[in-house]
Amino acid sequence: MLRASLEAFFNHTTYFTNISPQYKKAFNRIDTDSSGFIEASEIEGLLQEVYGGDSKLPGFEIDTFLKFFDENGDKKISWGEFEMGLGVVKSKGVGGGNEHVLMLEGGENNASPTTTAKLSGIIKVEMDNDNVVDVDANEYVAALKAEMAALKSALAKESDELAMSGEKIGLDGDNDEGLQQAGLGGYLMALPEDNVKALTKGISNDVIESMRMLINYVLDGGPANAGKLEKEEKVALPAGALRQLGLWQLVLGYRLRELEAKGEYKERAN
Amino acid sequence: MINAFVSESSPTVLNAMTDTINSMLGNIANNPQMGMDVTVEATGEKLAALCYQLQMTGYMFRNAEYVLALKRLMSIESHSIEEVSERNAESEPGGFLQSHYLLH
Repeated sequence: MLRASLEAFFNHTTYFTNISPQYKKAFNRIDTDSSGFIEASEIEGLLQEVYGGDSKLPGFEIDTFLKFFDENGDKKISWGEFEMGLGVVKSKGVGGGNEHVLMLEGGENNASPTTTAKLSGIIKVEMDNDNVVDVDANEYVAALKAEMAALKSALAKESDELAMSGEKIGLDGDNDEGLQQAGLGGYLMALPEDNVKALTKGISNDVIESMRMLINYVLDGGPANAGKLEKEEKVALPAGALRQLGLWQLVLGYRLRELEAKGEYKERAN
Repeated sequence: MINAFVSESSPTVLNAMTDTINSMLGNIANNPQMGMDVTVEATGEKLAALCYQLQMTGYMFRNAEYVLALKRLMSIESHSIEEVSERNAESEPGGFLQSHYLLH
């Protein structure tokens, strides 16, 4: 359900669909010294334009921009990180232009991934740069299998991490099934991987911790001091109340990201 | 807090949020004229999980909005920078680029 709305949001806004050379152009435009990386000073140049010549650009805008894209922590943004951050890249691990991109469609066709059909002959593979390369079919399939194994283990690792964060927040009681159905893990796993990556990547522990605190606050009765609700205790909520609660939670999450980005988080929390 | 949010946020985000809640609750709960009272029963644990999901969704919405704002900023060759900064000066710059600052 939430997934559907998030998708609707993206579709409305062509969030992930607008793949074009414009991105490369934009990157080159921002990278004024043509170093192949966007550095802090170049971010300042870009964002200062939005703020106009007169008002001072707050430092957090640069920090946030950098943190949002910079995956390897080198304080500058490579083309790959840029693409990834803007959701252009559809699968992880796509690096420079010379690597060829293998798009694996998830879910539908992996009924028997371990089939050992015999192959022979040559496959024509169209590379990223429009070159067509002849590859031995067996080698190609072996490469695909290796890639699939790598993706699978990455996925498994991801699931473990998600399960761990579920535990950290105290939602992962003794009921694993429940977590899968309703919990964060199931929800995020259901989203296309790259969407989630780009949008929750870099969420700080502080934010996770304050989410936990806020949820405890809700369960403790919230502003109305309605009395503590235990984990196993059932509560009946009229739809109207649930609507208010839901909207409030969405706004909280939205605000938390804002506070995190502006670096105001710590002050508010104390 | 919700009222303040409604008055100052971009329509895109507000729509996304109401859509999220509407699809969560479903048609019966969304149509008072059907004359049915919908009550949802859940344990504290499940309620907490739902809250977490929704907070995370809100967090993602903010990030999505940020990316949209950046994209507009980066591909606005037809819109002059002056135009954008003007608009930005009109609306109160709350910082951390919001997409409606850069809307057409």
